[in-house]
Amino acid sequence: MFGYVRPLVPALRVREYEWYRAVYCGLCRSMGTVSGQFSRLTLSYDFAFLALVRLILSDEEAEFAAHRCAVHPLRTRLMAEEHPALRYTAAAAACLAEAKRSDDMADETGTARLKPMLLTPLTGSMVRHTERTEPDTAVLLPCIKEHLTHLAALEKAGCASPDEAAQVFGSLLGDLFAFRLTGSAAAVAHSIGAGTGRFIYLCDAMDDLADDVRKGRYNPLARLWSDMALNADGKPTELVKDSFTTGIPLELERLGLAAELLPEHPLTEIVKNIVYLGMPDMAKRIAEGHSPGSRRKLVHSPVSAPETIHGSQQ
Amino acid sequence: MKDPYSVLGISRTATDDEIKKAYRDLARKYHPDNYANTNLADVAEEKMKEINEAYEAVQQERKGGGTGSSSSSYSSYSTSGTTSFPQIRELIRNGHYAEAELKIDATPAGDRGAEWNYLKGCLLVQRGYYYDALKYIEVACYLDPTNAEYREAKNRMHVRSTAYGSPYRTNGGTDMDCCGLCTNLICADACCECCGGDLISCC
Repeated sequence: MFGYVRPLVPALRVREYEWYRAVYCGLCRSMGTVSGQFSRLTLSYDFAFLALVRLILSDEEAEFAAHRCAVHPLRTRLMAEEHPALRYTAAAAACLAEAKRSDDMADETGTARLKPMLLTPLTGSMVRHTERTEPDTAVLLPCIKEHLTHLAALEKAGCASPDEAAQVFGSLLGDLFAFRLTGSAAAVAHSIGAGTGRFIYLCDAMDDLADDVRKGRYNPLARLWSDMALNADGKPTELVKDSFTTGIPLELERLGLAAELLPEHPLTEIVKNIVYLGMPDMAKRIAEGHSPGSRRKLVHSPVSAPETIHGSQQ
Repeated sequence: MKDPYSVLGISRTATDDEIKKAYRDLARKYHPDNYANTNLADVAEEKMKEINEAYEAVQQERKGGGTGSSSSSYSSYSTSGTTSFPQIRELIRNGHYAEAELKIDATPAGDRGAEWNYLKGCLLVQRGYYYDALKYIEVACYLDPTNAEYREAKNRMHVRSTAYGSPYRTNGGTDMDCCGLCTNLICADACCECCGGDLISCC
């Protein structure tokens, strides 16, 4: 995915930061065992968020221990030990990568098709690997593909409601978050997933707005705002930027409410940090054109003035 | 008397359940027990009274088909074109969103002025499509910059948007002290004032 879902590090407690990195590293290792070493390249912060939510909702305790890994051979790091939640997240990531690739393959034309074509053997091997190690998750792939087909149809029809399109991506992530959970855990996970999916979709649309218009590709924000979307110099207008930074927190309200319903767990505070601070901060960054892209660096200073970090002294 | 809807922090198009919920949340938040042993007990009590009155006023207005002072604010809009916006407003107020949406979407392009955009925005808010809603309300304000109702709707969304994230680590923690409480109250007062209300009357 895109890496839009990150915590706001300065607002994390030091131990929470350590745990967050431990979950991220643990997930990376699990991806290696579940879907093959190549899959570790597709790791993103979005999946770390999925892993956090699944860890919180799991009955099994998460354990941490110091390990070395190939990426950081010199020093040991705290990592989450193998855990069903991490294995599930790894499987989901592999399925999503494959579904996304085959969707791109069907959509793109010309040279843009090259990328999904080149990725075919990679994601194919990831999925085959996953089918062997986590056979339960085999049903995920058709489920994801169905949602993406629905989304592609909406986009093809030129849907002018970003919310409507975001809703489809939201229900995809909702299903991923809630897979094989039951009762209230499933309900909470589904709404957290749905909110996250909507957030990611809208961020992606804003991030790509200028690019999409230039290349004549579909973009829901461009369709909604039509000639009000871009300035003469091809940058998003203040109007679009403002309504984006205002709209995202409103969209996130429901996500916040869902996060409040997570059971008490040491990792819950990290989820709340991401939902309440990390996501709005990311939205501001994207509106200002400072999208982090696929860069792996975490956010160490908020884009907004410090007083918007609640709980700080006046 | 203050507008009961703004005291409860809800829109006029809110459903009965939403009103009940808003009331319950506020009552829980400002319950005198929370403020026992502080010098703010009186302020909280006053706020609680205000909330109770507002809730009753809203209930009565809805039961009696609009006897409150607030219902008069609906009579001032113009009825240009063939589309009946008052009718759509009535549908929205009574919670018949699907029907209102059908009517809104059936409005001919020529009639889609400021009010149409505003009502469309209100319906989208009901559905939880905040991003889309903002666009329509923004356009309504643009087409009719003098209309207080549209501007208020826009402001309300902005206030709500900036308030997001405030529950993070400001409650439930054991380290809640006097200082944090005051900060929150001042924030709450500022929010109330934005909506036309007032929590702390002296500032």
